[in-house]
Amino acid sequence: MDYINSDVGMDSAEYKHDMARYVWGFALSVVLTLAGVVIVAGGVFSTGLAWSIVGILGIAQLIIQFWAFMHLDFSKEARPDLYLVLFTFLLIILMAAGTVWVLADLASRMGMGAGSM
Amino acid sequence: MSATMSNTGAAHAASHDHGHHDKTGTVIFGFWIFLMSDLIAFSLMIANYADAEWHGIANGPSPHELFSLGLPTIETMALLISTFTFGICTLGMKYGASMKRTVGWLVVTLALGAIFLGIELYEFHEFWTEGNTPQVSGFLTAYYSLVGLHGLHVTSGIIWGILLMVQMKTFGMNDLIKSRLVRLGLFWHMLDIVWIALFTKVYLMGVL
Repeated sequence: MDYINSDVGMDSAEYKHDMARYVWGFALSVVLTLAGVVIVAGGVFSTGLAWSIVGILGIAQLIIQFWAFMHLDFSKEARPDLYLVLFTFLLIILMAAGTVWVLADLASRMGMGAGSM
Repeated sequence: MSATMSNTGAAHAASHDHGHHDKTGTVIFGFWIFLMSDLIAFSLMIANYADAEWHGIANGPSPHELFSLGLPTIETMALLISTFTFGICTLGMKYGASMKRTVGWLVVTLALGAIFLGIELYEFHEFWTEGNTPQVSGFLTAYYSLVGLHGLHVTSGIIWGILLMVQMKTFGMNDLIKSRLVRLGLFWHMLDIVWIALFTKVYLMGVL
């Protein structure tokens, strides 16, 4: 994929095709954001369930935006970016989860107890 | 000038098959590496926040007591619309849009970024004047540094965008300027992705 130049203009089918990806990404992001707000504000679900749903909606929107706006997909052109992102998320899971684990363990050893999540 | 531009354009079109091997592709991939290292920094700030919010309330307010969803939702929408308008800007540029159109959408994007920043600073000011300063608790320290770090990124994105508009006017839309605009676009999209995590963890889960 070429980021900066195209052989065709804005009236081409390629432009409409690429534009559709942005429009889908935007529309889905709006829906997922508002769904999260409604779930939290509505108070229909139990706190634990609402927490899980909101988390899943967030992750879904994250993947959608990587696809729609940052052009990440399984195409050959995007492969180096995809490997980089996947490796980054491996590091993030190890380091972020490790950080929370160590700090929470430290807190419990200091008798701080687990406050309300 | 226009002759040079069409020449580089033709040379670029001829090298389509090389994908990431051409200079623009290499530079953009390098920028991706920067973005991912930035993402790691943000994620560790979030991990720090998650613990501070859990064990570091001290005598200060809890997230549930401090936050409401109204303004953060408007803020989120402003940034979400701005990431979309930046997409319209860079996609049009790729397909040969006029500089006027490209600059126009960039201005819209940066203005939405400024609205986002304004709401964030207003909230900071409100919390601060209520006595909820960073010194009150580990949670508040983590909150101001995490959300503030993101705000600092948006601020630098706005400054960068303004400088880029000056460059567009000065040098015209050559391949180097286009490549810079695409990189700022990636930076901006990344900031919205980071904001999804912040909005979800800090505000949505905080209010629950």
